[in-house]
Amino acid sequence: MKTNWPLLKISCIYLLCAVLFYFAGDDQLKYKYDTSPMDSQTGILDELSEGIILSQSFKSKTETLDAIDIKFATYGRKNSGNLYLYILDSNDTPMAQQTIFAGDLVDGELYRWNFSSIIDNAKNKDFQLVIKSSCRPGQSPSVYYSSLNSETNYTVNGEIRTGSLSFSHIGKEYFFLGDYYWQSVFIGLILITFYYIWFLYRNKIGKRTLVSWIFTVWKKYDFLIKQLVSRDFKTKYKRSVLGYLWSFLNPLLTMAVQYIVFSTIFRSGIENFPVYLLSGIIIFNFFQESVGQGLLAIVANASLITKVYMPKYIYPVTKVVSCSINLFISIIPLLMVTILTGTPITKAIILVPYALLCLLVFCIGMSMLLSTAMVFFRDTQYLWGIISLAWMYATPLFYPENIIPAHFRFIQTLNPIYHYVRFVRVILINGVSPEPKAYLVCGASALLMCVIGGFVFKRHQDKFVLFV
Amino acid sequence: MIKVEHISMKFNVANDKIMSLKETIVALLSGRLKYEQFTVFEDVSFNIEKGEVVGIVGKNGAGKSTLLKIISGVLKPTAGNVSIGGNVVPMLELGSGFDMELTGQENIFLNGAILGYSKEFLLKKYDEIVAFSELGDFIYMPIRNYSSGMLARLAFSIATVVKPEILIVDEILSVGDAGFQAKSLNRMMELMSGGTTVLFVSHDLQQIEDMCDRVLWLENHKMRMYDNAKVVCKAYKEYWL
Repeated sequence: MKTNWPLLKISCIYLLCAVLFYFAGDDQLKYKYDTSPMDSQTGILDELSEGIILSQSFKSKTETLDAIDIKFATYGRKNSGNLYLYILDSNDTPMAQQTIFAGDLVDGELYRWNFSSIIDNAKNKDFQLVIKSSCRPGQSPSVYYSSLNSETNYTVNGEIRTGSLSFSHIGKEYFFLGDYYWQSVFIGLILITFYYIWFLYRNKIGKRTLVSWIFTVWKKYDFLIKQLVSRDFKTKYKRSVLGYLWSFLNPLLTMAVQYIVFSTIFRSGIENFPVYLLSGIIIFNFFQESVGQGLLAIVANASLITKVYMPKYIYPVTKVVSCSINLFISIIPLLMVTILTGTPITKAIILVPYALLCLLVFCIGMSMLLSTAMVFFRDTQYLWGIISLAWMYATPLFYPENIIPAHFRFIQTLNPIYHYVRFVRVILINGVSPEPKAYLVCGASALLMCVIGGFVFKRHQDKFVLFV
Repeated sequence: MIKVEHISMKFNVANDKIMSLKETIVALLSGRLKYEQFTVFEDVSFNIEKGEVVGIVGKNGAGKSTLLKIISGVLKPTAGNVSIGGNVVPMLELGSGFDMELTGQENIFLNGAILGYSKEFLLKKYDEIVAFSELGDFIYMPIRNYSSGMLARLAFSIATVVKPEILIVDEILSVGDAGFQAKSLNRMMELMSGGTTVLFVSHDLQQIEDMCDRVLWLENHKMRMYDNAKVVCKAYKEYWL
């Protein structure tokens, strides 16, 4: 190797990534907010006039308690007087209190009470929510309740009733990674050092490692790969008038059509619908296009495969890589639309490449798998047309994620493309990093697909010549 | 340079070449999917020294092209070992790595990369390739506008610019108009006499006798003879009489 300090370089790059990631991930890497579920309301309690005391105990599942959401009813009138809210711990010591002017409440909407000081060490501890009132009868609000859950109780003036008051408590759940971030980074650094030493040792005794194999292949074939990618890219829009502009226009126009259809005809009610749509369209289009081209890579190059020797995975890989140029160009209209719709671009944006990288690796794996299948069964390309169509509808591209009923939710959970799309959406629309689990899911699904595809490809590549 | 030890090549040939899922399922269900083993050749061993020109003769379907493919690494033999001591450049069926939409210039780099040339080598030899092809300013045009003769010239110029250690030629090439044909034949002769190890297949026995040092004769799934060109050619001629 030419570089004198590869280990130093790798470590610097690694640390730089770790710092950038820490900076961009921010609080989302340390904790997430958890909201306790609320049973659906079955009615409204009698009005909360002076003298009435409501209470319900609950157990916190999160490590802190930050806020309470309560559903009040106002009977559609202007009320006056105050409500007094308390959180008591198991020793009946008040941990938080709040006074609400009854006239500020909105009928049937959640009232958010953010504690002035957050309650720490709350996990698995018992608390009690107490509501008192100083409102006159006829001018008092009330609270929704639910009688569905027979395992919980609440009290009205000391009398125990089955069910629950309609409130939920919100708290932070800390991630292991967040607490030990720098320690994990340090362990990673040590692992890299060890791997490097092992790598040098293997090189010295003349054995191949995966990394050295990748190096030699890249050195030998980088010119060919670059030529093939530039060929695909140059010929893509060769005889069209607008040329590369199509990479911009295609996603924009598709979005325009779907936006008109789904915002005026179906009324989806999704927050920031243009960005929601466009991010889905761009990612899914890339997936569909790159795999569609990648699966033909072996068959279409039959004349070369039967005559020149080169590692065969170069064909599907270069197809996907040349499609990815298109993907990177179409990120520009996505950012434009994000800015135009008034969504602020935050520092979390530097995390988008992670999702795109995972997507790329996933598509490479998928292309290797399907291009192998294509050699032996020419039906693959027609099947892929249908499967990718079904896949498109299974991915929430233009409909809201929660439209899918709970017992079909696994369709989303098992769909890697959904996770990549969601990853990008959280960053662009909410402006924050996704939770650590999302990184894991994206990375693992991409690697798994790549390993499966690579394995199947490797098993069968020697037989390609006989069948193409 | 090239050491071939006891290689055999066998194919599993289905009754028909089954290409689709439906066909396979139908064939499986009706029990018609039987594989027959088809032997191309068995137990072929030979050595080729550096700089030798070796011709391969045999009937159609005797496995001449298959043997070349095994040596160039495209096919893996069913059994046996092949060790190669140098870079192999196959003389492609002309222009099989071309892209019709690209210009001649771009195709020189694309096709060159496919043949395994390095970027530095192509940059250095670029002028030579263009000069040899005599295409002039046509080189800046998309090659879909080329005549077939022009395409052949370009392909030939790229394929022969390299001085490979091992050159593999399936049927000797002479392309273009009379002038270029003479030029290309000269180029081939030059390559073959320039210390390159050459393996080539031809049905032109005269050509083989003139150009080769040794000749390999494949017959009946076996290597029938591997000897001095004169000797093998004589025997081969007698066999056909």
